[in-house]
Amino acid sequence: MKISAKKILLPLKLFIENSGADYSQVTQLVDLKLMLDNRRKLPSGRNRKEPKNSIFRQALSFILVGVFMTLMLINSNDPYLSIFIFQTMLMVMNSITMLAEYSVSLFDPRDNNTLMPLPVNGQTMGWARVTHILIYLFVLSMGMMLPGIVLTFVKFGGPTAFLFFISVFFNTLFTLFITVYIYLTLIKLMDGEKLKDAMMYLQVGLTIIVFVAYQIIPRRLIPENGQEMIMQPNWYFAFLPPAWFTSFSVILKQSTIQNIVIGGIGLIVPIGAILFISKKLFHGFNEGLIKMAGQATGKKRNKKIKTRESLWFKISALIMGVDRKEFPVFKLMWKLSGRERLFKQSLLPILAYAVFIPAFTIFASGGLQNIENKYVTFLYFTIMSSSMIPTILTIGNNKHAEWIFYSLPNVQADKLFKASIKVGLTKFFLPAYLLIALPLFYFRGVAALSDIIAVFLFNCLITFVIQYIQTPHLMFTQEKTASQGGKTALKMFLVILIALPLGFLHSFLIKKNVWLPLTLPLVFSVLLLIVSRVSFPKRYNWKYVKDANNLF
Amino acid sequence: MEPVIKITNLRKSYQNGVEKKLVLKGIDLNVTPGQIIGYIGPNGAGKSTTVKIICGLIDSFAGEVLVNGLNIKKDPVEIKRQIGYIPESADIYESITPVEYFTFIAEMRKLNVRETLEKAKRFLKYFEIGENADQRVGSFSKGMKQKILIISALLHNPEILFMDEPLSGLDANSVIKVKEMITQMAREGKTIFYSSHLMDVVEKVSNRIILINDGQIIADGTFNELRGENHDESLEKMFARLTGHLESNRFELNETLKNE
Repeated sequence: MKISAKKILLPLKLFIENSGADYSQVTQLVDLKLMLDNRRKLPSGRNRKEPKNSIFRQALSFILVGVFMTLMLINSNDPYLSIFIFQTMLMVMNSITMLAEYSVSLFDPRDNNTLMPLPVNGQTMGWARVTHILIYLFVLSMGMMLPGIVLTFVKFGGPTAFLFFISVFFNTLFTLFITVYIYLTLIKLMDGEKLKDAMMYLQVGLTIIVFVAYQIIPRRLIPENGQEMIMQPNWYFAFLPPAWFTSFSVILKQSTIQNIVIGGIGLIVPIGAILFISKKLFHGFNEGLIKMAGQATGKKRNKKIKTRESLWFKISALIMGVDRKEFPVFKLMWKLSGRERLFKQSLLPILAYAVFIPAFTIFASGGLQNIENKYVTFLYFTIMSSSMIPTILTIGNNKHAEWIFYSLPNVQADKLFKASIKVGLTKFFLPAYLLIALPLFYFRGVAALSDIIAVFLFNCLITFVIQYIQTPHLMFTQEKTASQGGKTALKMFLVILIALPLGFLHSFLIKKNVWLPLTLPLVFSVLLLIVSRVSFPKRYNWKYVKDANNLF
Repeated sequence: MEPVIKITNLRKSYQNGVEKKLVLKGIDLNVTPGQIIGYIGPNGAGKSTTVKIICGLIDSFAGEVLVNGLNIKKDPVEIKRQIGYIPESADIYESITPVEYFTFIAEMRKLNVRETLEKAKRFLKYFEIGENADQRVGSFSKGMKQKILIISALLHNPEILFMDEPLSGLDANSVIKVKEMITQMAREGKTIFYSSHLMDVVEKVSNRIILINDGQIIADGTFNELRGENHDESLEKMFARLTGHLESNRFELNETLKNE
């Protein structure tokens, strides 16, 4: 299906023109971006068919996530509670997707040389970038909310379902514009490397805040009332953005003054935010793009680059069994991965989740003693982070540097990919994983060691399998595009479906017999060896890599 | 005659670690219509920075830049409408075809798409890449990409054309064609601002040569005027002498090569 920006941006035409942007230029820029997204992936050597935009396929998959949520709320007879949970979930998913995936596209300076010489003002550029992302966010939001809207239609009637549908749009707009506001403010305050670093750490920080809010708010606001959960809206809900959109959705069903006022905020704030940000801040968009291209005037710390390998590097090489042929690549990737901002920008928020999910579950459950039985299962959820490593390792702006691997003698393709995965697993994932796994010693004593090793091996196994099945792009060479967004959240959802039963099985084995869990590290080791030592060398040769990357 | 480009005390600095590096140290320059400016200087002299500032690609600088009487700080969009810019590196969307790219440029510049494409096709033919019009840019050589950039800067028939190392990657035949094109444009009264470190081309096409070194203009005049002042037989020799690079490193290089 071809998306035409001219048609879909029509509802925003008034806002766009009012801000001083050129509507026709905005639509042309968005059309170009969408066309580029469609073609970004080069077809592999074996299948040279034109790839299709995956956004609708992703949206279909997001419906599955929505169905999952709907099933949990199917018994609720309180429209406020159901819609509030949907709106909170939507806001969290959108914030995460926005921060982890789309913020890079927002101030992507790669096409500065093409776009900056054109007569395009900051407002036009700002609207084009923002609406390009909005299209993706909205399609994914609708995919995720569709089952909820259907449930609302069946249980609470058509008008409420219709208002819920409208509120999804406003919720998405609000999240997007608030994120843009934060970034534009940051751009005003600093520039150069400092700005890029600040953006990266802001992303990680915001992701944690969003997650904390998601964990705390519903737990504080949804009281248990016997068997059935109901929600009592209060005036202080005016400070909770998900409540704005919930009150708006139920305004016809529960027409209280309180809902009318809070629901009204849900309309006024996003519209006000759009007007203010587009009129007052978008003019700085071109400036932002120039700053992101690195033409800075600000101060920068004169960092000295360490040349000696750290102890952690040596330990990592040892525990991952890095052989002599892998070692030079392992060393290079270790250094590059610490310096590639796009890579860190994508991976760190995901690792932050991995650490904060257990921390908050412990907090929310009232202490470690209440989650003893769940903790091993819980550990399997770390697969959400490690499984992202193969994809994230490919992200970077070094497309033109990949020739070095092809041209050097003695670099085997399988060793190159394996060494890179090993860097991702040890340098970034392992410290976070050990932090998460620590409480297990509290429950199981020394026996926890085997569980921790088993789950780490499982993480390695799945990560290697994902690398094995994905297109073998070289490290730090692939552009991060808006069309890739959403895939991350979906991939996480799918790997959880694999990890969950294994987590339960592991818990079951612990309960059954003290020795039984010891078999797991053995099983995972054997499987890992098969994938790494047998399957990888068979598939990964330079012909396979070159074909997949359309080279030579 | 009123200058089409008027630069007054242009200064620009970058932060390099803890120290501030001044890349432009007060450039003053007036360019009148029809001039072909050869803006030359060694690597890091500030050539590209000057061009990018005039074209509105860098917005933090001190001093004043007027193009056709418009201030680049106040009217960057209007100036961009009137000028053409050919960047140094062939950055171009790889997954689109030249025709798609030119269509986009025409739409953004609000030109008649049909007429623009006809014009673009004539240019493609002139540069001998007519048959590649519907192929993806990703499959092009560096020189072919550079030709696409040159064409896209000419589609709106700009009165002033800025060229920042426009010949990089072009073969000898294409270089001749670009030189012909520059001369023809100058005959039509257009102003060309040609930034390069390739002396032979600058020497042949420019009617005014400006030599910049370490952020300052150190020579300005026609080739004959400069040659008269400095008694040099070629621009290359004059360049090397004025920038102080003629003999300085020759001995070191010889020694280094010997050691290798």
